[in-house]
Amino acid sequence: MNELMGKNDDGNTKPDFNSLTAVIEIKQNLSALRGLRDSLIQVIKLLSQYPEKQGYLLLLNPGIGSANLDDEFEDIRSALLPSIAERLHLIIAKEHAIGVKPKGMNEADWAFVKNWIATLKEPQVALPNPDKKSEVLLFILLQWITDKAPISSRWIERTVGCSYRTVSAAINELGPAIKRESDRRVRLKYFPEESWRRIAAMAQKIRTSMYYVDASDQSRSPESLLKRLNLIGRHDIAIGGVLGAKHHFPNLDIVGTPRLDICLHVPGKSVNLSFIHQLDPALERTRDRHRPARLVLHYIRRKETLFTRGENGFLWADPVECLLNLYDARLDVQAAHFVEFLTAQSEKSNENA
Amino acid sequence: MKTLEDLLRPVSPANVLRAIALAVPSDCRKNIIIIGSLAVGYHYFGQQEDIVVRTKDADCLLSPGIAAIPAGIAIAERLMGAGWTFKRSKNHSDPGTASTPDSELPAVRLCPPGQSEWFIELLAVPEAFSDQSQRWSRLKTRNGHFGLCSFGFLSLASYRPSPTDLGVYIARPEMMALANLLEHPTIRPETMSGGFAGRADIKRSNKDLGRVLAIARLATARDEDAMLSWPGLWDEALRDRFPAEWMVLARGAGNGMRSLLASEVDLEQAWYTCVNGLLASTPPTFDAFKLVGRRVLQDAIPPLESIGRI
Repeated sequence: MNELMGKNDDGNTKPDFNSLTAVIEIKQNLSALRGLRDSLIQVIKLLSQYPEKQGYLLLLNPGIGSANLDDEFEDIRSALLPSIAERLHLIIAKEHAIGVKPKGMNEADWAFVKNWIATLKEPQVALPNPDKKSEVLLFILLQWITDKAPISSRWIERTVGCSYRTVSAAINELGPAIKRESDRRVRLKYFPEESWRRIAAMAQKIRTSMYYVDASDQSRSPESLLKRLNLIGRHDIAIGGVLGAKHHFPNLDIVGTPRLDICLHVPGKSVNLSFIHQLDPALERTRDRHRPARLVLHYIRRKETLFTRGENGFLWADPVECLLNLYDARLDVQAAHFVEFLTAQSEKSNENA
Repeated sequence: MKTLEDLLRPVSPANVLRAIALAVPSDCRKNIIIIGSLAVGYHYFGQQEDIVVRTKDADCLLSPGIAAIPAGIAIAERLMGAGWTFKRSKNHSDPGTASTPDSELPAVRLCPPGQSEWFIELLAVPEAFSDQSQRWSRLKTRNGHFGLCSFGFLSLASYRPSPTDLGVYIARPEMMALANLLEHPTIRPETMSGGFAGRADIKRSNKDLGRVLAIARLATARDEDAMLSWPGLWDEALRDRFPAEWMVLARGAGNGMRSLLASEVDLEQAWYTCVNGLLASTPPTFDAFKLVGRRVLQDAIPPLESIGRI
């Protein structure tokens, strides 16, 4: 069972990276000094196998302080034969920041280390504060479309993640479109066109979306990106846009899928976007709306996602979100058609209620 | 001064395959697996005679191993009997004799009658994982003694080859890609003997790893999700061909490619070999080529490495 121990058939240990001049072992998220000792033993064994090479242990985001790691490393190194100790090195990279090149390290090996770290980069993007009042309006609208029952302020607060004052301000803005029940719960009486127009017009300012174009000359189709999204298996990303609208309204009049709109749930203030390059390393963010986006990322900032899981296992964004995505894609005709469908559906269920 | 076309002749994969299939004994066709750029070209460009790839050799792998020597003898004798000529090289002006040591025997390299654009070369599958270095088996033919060379991970190229209407087989491009990945866990300094398309600095590792990217690009041009199926097939082939070593091999499959992508100098060489070889008809920019590499590191290699870590 040599292979289970990371060894070749000749019993030798196989390094994570083996160049002409160096062997490198890589350990991520090391949480105990015992792990450091075990990893160093691996490198020491490699140095015995490769007497002409330098040996590096690369620690990525260790959960132990650098000073402790350095102390332990020096303790171990001081106990080794000079022929091994002089070739044993420790590289620590935290939060993808890596220090200076270890003395004597070959440029190509250093490039490998930097590249490896770069491939693991998890860019954290800070997001602006969400417009919670609009989120309340969207939630009330969604409730009107999907479920006619009145809703309490407390429920809205919990779903959106906002204060009573925000809920109250949003309800006031809906004016005569709101019906207040005797128990203070509220519901819409009709589609609030004025408020909707305001939100749709302001959507690009009050909501956060990011646009990605293909930087290669072999762009992946939205369907291909979707396949990879499914492989990633995230529970906080749903499909919106044209595909989402078609899920809710199969008769939407559009041929093909010009781009993939996905909705990422981010109730907090920052987001990790490393998954974008898992969908396709050729995706490149653009702020130029004239460049045809292959992927558009919308942020769902309320506390609850309100995503639904379809029969095929995909997560779908709610119809109101999909509708906003259609406006974002400048598919105004399709968006208007979708509004008609949602309104009719709602009125139909009102009659049945 | 030699032009690029003198160095690497544009040949039609369909025409070359047809010439080989028609020339070899019919009962030997089933033992022939075409590998290398011709196989890749034939796989992706099919029988379009107007599509050419730049190459000079038609590598024919003889499989299975047990049939390699008799098939090699029969093929060499039939071809030379039909007017195919021995391709002279710096070290070999004629076929070997009974007194030529095994390691100095010339390979079976034969040019079609009246042509010098390309030549056929016969190769054999290594018998065991331990036969990674070049090994020569003697072929005693009526026309002299030759060596049948086997090396590296050629056994992967013989895994589930695709049949052709011509009776010969072609290696699956993704299996050739895996063989190249495993052959080069690092970028070695050896350069191509005889250079490549006018350049003397091209490292063999860069050319072979570049081939992986060329295959990836051609495969995704046909099916954008093609690479998603590679790890499963690679896993299957590694377990079949290297039952004792497959996990170690799977774990290390990406090392060479990562090194290539980490070095602009090496990647430029790989790109040069592709735009002057398999990708000559639709050459990508350097940046687009680099993205192909990143996609290979996304779709194909990590799943295989993960399988090797189970």
